[in-house]
Amino acid sequence: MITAGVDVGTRTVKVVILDTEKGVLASEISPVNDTIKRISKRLIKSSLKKAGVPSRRLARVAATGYGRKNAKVAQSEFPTPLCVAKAINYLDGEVHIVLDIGGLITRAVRIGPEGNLQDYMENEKCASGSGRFLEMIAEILEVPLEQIGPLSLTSTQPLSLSSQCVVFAESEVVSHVNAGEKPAEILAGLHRSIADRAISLAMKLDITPPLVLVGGVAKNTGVVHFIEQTLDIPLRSLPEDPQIIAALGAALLA
Amino acid sequence: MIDGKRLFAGIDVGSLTAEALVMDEDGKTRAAQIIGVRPRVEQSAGDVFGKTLASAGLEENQIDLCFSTGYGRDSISFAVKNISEISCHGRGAHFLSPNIRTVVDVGGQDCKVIKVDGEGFLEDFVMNDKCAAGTGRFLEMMARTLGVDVSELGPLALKSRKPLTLSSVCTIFSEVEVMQLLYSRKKAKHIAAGVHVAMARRIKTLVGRVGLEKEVCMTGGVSKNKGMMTLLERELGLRFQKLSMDAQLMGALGAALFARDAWRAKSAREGS
Repeated sequence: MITAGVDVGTRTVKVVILDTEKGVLASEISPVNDTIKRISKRLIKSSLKKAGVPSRRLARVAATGYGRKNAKVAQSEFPTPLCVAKAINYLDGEVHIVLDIGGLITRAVRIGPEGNLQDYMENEKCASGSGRFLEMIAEILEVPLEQIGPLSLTSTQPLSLSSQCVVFAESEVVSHVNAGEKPAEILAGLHRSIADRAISLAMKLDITPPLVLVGGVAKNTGVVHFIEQTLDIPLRSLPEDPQIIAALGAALLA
Repeated sequence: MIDGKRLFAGIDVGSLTAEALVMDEDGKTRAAQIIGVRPRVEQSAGDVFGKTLASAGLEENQIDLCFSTGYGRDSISFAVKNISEISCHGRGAHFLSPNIRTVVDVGGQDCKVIKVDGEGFLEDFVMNDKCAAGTGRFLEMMARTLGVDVSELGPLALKSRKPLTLSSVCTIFSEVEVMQLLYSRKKAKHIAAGVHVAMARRIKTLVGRVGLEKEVCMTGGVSKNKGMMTLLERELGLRFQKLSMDAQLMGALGAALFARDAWRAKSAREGS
């Protein structure tokens, strides 16, 4: 059976086309640059084409994510932590704890012994420690987003940032730049604060390895480094793009 | 001294502007000035004080006592004493309108609700300076997202009779919501009104934490935004008391009043 999962995040929409026998056939990611409904339709169409599957063979569509109610393309909707747990258990049955750092929301998910969603913690009221924070700072520093991770790894003395609020931290970073601080040190401090924020959420669930990091920020090597350094354990790597995990979970649940 | 009357000064150095005010022993304001801040606090204080004295043809040695307040208050060497801006704001506003009990001070980076007693002295306060929600920065960010100047946001909001609802408090989440509203072709005026209502609700929560007591006035940079004033009045169910002086001068006015108190206490001690 062919299913689709649509994950409507705060910054990007992700679609996964799944063959329940064979696994992931195709996936697509788009920034939120239009209404959620139009983006979702467009992505389903383009990912079906990529997978070489005619739309009549698509049996079911499920939506998840912050804006799932606005997708209007799905027969069912599932909460994000449930989709994350489902997908991770499907990809790697040994993982107990998932850290999910997305555009605006950070969460930690605990997977139970039967592969079920056991517990989760999330921060969906405040964007502190989120991917949006990284985007804003990359813009101020005029460093492309995909380079901020590697650049921060060259730091010798990460700066510490005092503001929790992304808006105030933006001004704080501007003053560090004006004071002549190096981008690598600013970025290292930034990545460390994001890592700490995610870890403190996971602590509330009690951290039992192995651990995996998903969401758009999982692609940032700087954040990965600081999480591994602080916890002193390596993060598991996944066979799929870490950004499409919730969409995959929705496709599995569909 | 001037014309046989004692003179008192208050200097308020904030993060964006610095103010100075000179008052006589009868409480009459003799001079007041506002300037943009200089790189160093001491410099801002010296410049605004000098400008204020010059505007009234006064010399520094004619000032009997000078107190400072504001963010940079402890680095002003020529001020005899410094007092927190929270006490000064409350005191200044109460002096102008003695029936005021609550001052809602919304600045660019923080929001304070100050409660004073019948004499104008600080009774209680709450402050948010950790999160941009409920501060001028929130409005700036929303204006940026809507593609208008922050000064146009209030007037735009006042044109709407159907404010849209924003569900989150966080500025960054609101940015995402506003973008979606724009993509769905909602009118900018209704979004702007929704932005103001969201901010008014946030301030109302802070007011609730100290308890609202009438009369109430609004100070700080955001008090210059008519849209915000109107929607906040509606949200709180009251009318703000108007102040007879620029609300930006409340800190300096309060500091000058505290200087006058100190002089009165000293002369009472010496007299007895």
